[in-house]
Amino acid sequence: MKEDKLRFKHTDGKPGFSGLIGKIRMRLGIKRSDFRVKPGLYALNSPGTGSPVLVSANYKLSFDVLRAAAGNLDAWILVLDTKGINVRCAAGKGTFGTEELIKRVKKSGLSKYLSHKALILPQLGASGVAAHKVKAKTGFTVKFGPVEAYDLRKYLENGQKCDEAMRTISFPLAERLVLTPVEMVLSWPLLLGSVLLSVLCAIISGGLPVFLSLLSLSVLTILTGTLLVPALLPYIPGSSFAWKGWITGVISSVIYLLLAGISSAVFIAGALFLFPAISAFLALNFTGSTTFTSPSGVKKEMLYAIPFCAISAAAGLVFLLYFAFRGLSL
Amino acid sequence: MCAVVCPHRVIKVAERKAWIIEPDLCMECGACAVNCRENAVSVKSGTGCAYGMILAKLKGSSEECECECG
Repeated sequence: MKEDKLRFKHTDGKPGFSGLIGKIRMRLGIKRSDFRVKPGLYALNSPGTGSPVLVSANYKLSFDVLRAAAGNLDAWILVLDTKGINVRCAAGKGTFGTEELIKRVKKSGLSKYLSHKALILPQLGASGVAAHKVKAKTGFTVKFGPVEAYDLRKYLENGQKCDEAMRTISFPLAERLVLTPVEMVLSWPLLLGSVLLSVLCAIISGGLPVFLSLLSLSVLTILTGTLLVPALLPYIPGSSFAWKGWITGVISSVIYLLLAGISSAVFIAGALFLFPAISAFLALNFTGSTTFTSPSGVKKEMLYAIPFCAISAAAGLVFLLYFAFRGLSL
Repeated sequence: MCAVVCPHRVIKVAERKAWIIEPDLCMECGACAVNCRENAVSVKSGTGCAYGMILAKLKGSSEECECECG
């Protein structure tokens, strides 16, 4: 009788140095679409027929976080083809979905390695996977495990039961901060534009102080929108991200203008119209990095925030260019 | 199942009914609707990502998440 070819790959709970480099690369936004593992069945350490089956996306960071959390446990990992995208976004798009899960279960021949018929999915996969449909088509029971992989061992030791905390998304400071490098990296077009503006105004007005002031305000604004606002997110009043970005931008710009002793009304007007609008726009883009913003809420926000930012920025530019052309002093 | 899968604990099941107890916390992920056998819940789901929506608008598509953001 012909022996079945081994239809799974081996892996362990140690993403190692290359995993760390990859993680850093992802957090800096470098070639983010190029960090995936092949979909299919993996044996984590030495699973047997009674070992649990953990389902993952094929975004390598999702895969690495999962296996590092499992550590030295013996388990099967079934990786779905989510086109290199993490669980939460892929579930929203449908790629971490019912059909893909059914397909992967069948294709991998998973059932012949197991004496049970249960699949453990991360909680955030639930928006893409209908448990009852998977059961109907494959006979496998879908169990939704914790939101975070770091709760996985506790979940398994608890007899595969979640407590309320494990089922609830949280967004503490550390998690907010780890997302800021990407936001800073992605803001480079706005930084470039601001630097060019600074250079332009300096050339027109022939003044180094103008260049330095605009450059400082530009850098300050970028840091406000990409670092300060995410860090202080729950403490800034208002629920709209654009508003939070705007008001924080106003405060940081005012602080700079006071410290720099700038008294030109034209320059101040230009700065306060332009820079908070940039900060507001940057903060608005942080919505995609959170796990609590709703599409209807964001849409509503964008409807007034984007025109407002555009008009305000344009007004700011007019004031600043007028300031430069007239050779006014700070 | 809806109460189990909701990541913001918006739903509670009591007396054989599902109650939406924290509507403001709902992020419209659709997990409850997808997992309701009885189709009792419907959600216009999507991701609350401004960047994705802007890209989709610029590309002229109806999809709300057009980036390969990982």
